[in-house]
Amino acid sequence: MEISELKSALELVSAPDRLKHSGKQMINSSNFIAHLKKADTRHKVLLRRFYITYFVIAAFYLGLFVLNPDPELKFSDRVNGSLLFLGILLFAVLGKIKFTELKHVRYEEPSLVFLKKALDRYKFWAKEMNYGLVLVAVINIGSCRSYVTNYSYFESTVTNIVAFELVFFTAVGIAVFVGYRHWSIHKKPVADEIRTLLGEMKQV
Amino acid sequence: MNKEQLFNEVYKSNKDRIYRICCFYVNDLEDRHDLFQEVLTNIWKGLDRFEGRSKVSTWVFRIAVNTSLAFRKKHRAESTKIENARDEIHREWNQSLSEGEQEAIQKLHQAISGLNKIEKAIVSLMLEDVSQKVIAEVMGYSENNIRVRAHRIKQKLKAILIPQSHGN
Repeated sequence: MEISELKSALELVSAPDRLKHSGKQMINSSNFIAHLKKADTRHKVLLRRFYITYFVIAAFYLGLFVLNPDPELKFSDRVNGSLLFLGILLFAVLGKIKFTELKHVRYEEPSLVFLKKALDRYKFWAKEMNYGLVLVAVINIGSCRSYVTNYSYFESTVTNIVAFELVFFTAVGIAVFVGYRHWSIHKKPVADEIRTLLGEMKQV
Repeated sequence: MNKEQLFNEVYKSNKDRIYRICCFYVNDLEDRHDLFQEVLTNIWKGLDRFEGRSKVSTWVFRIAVNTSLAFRKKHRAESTKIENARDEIHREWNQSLSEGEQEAIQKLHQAISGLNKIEKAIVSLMLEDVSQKVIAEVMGYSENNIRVRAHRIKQKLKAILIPQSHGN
């Protein structure tokens, strides 16, 4: 059999009228647009909820620890509150960057470019993680100051700071470990597959 | 033309080609339909950004190929499931195809399953009569690179297919 014969054989294959989805015949090609529009609306609603939640939390911190006219609220408390507010704000900005990046994956780019960008998205230490370090530092300074000023357990300030940092960095370490586990189960196989594809693309 | 009309236009003129491209990457019928649906979803999402710098067909091919390369199978391959899926695919085709045509398609897929994903991408476009210039644009290679790769793929396919035809 020649390749040209295969070409004519392949032309006989056509798209199905009904799409099989999760074992059920559920999406008809003609109402596919309605299904997509529904998905678009669902995404918009989820995104709006995310912003509202963060706006409420940020506004709560700003109102309670920074703008609160209570004369008992010291200047240092306001500084701590501002740092925590900044941390929440940075977290929301990071979330927005990541969300926008995922939403606007450009499948219409040349495969070589598309795969290189996909690999960047699936790396464990993506470039946004550097901003994440700033976020951790801001939250750390704010919460440590707040702990030492208001809730210190030991007499010496240094001991209080060390005790706080031990707890804080243990929590950060656990979070990084959980993140790494999640990445190695869900994202690393994809990253490895993309690396293989890029390797195949570079072979001449 | 609004987004919906544009989508319908793109869908009508490209659905069979898109589906055939999807066929090269997955055997399981459900996975195949999932992939086809994912390509259509990415076309819908990409329509907002389509600026008309490239031909619609080139744009569609890029989305189909990239979605297929990035596609992760949901239905993991157990041998019985693959057999069932093959039966199902053949049943789907059997409705309109003669025995000879079915055999030809089966041979084609057998031969192509021996290629890597990038070779599959190139051969799927070659079999759709896409020019080497457009394949180069889709993949991000130079035309010369595609020419060399296309030649090698043809040799590989011939090596798989010709002994089969001698045997018949």
